[in-house]
Amino acid sequence: MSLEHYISTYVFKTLYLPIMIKVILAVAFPLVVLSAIPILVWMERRGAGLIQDRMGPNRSNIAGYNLLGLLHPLNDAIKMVMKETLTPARAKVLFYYLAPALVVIPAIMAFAVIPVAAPVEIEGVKIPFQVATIDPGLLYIFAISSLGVYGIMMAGWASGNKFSMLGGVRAASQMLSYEVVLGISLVSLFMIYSDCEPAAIVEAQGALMFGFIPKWGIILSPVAFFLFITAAFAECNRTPFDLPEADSEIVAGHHLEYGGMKFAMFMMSEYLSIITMSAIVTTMFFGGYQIPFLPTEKLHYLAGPFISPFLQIGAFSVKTLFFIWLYIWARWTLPRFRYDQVMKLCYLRLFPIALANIFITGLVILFFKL
Amino acid sequence: MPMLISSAVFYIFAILSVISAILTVSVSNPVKSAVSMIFCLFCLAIIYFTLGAHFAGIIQILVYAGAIMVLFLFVIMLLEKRNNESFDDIISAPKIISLVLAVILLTALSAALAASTGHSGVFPAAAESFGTLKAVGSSIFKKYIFVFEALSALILVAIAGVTLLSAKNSEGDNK
Repeated sequence: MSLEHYISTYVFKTLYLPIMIKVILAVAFPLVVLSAIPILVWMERRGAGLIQDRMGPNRSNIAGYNLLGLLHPLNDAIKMVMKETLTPARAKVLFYYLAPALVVIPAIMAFAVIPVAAPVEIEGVKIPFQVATIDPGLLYIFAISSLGVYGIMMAGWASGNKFSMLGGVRAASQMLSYEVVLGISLVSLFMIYSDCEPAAIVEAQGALMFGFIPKWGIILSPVAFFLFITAAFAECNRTPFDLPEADSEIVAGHHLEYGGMKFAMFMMSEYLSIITMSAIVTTMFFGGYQIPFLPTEKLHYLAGPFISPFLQIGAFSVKTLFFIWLYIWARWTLPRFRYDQVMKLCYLRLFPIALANIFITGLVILFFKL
Repeated sequence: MPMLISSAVFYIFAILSVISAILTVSVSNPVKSAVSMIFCLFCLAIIYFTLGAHFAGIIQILVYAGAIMVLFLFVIMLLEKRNNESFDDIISAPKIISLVLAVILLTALSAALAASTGHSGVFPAAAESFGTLKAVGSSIFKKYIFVFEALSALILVAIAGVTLLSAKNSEGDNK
């Protein structure tokens, strides 16, 4: 091999290939997450049928094959795209059209720091399975998802409808309040793993405690898990915290005046944030991509660098799908809270518990030198 | 190539932040003004990212763009339909005050710029840990601990004051 050839290969491998890999990941992640939405819609509707003891959608078919109702989301999409575009007479046109985009874009961006498999090295090229490895890690998710509230507020205000306005105001106050609990509940885990970067936290969770218990977040800090999952439900505006769209009180809240694909974008952002929140719960509390009792080095030794990422992506997907199912399960099981109950729960119950959890975790780390 | 990308990102967002900052002060609609300010803060956060200060950028989005400006927009949207006629006049008290403040700020900034021109233009490279969570945390809790605690006390006093004032105002509603 000539020197020139060697140098050009080296430059390609160290300079251009990492950028190309990042670009491929940055395209692939949103595509995968977006194409998961129809599956979630199907899960939701069939799950509702299962819980309410009925069939759920199963009529739509191609040549007699209904695929358990999986064709319904396809029909929904066609219907949404074909619908007439209406603009309410009293809408503020610029913000009315801007709002759906402002809701969807942060919801897609938030997934960027979540690792779905351990990085592998093939012929000297390191392939990460995470779009961005940045030092503040999880804070990025909170920062980006806090921008999602603008779209909802703007939709409520720009529609020129009082029900929409009420929905927007409710959404803004609820999301701002629960964001605090959401962030603070994870501080105890940052303390335990002394890191804030998701990939590092997942790696730390692969270790075993006393030789047989995995060091998962749920085992080391169970209080944080319950705080986080409650705040996550409120942050996604899902039942029992779906006050912003409470159909029985304010018709449909912030997206009342939206139809067709614009409405679909609000729905998509709701499912996107469910996926993101489930992925965070998996990453922080349930070992992320770790297969239980099979640390990454052992897996790479057993399955090789080509197959083991797929096994870990599988493990990550199964765990995430369970929490997505938990969201659906809760929606069709629990009734809606009253508005003052939601606010009191946040500031008078969850917030003090979260602070106490940080304090106690700090004491335990200080005295037992964990 | 990474350098090229980061300088391209810097120039794009520097221009966008200047445009949105001008829009913030020149647009008459308060909602449009607030939205361009949010966009300006977002662009500044991305400029922090290109400088390697990830934590500062994240906090910029989380606190300013994600929380404080939400409250701004919240208030503007709720208190809509006010005819702010004082801003339609060519000469008015708020305009004069803001003009004076702008001139003072411009003088201070150009003085600072003039003072810094003596520098050779080559700056020492930042340390490897620059802008990371651990570096920021240890400088807050070791070097600047007194300032940090003083600020906490200030915020605590402000919170206590707000609680007292709002409790006084809503006494009539509850009883």
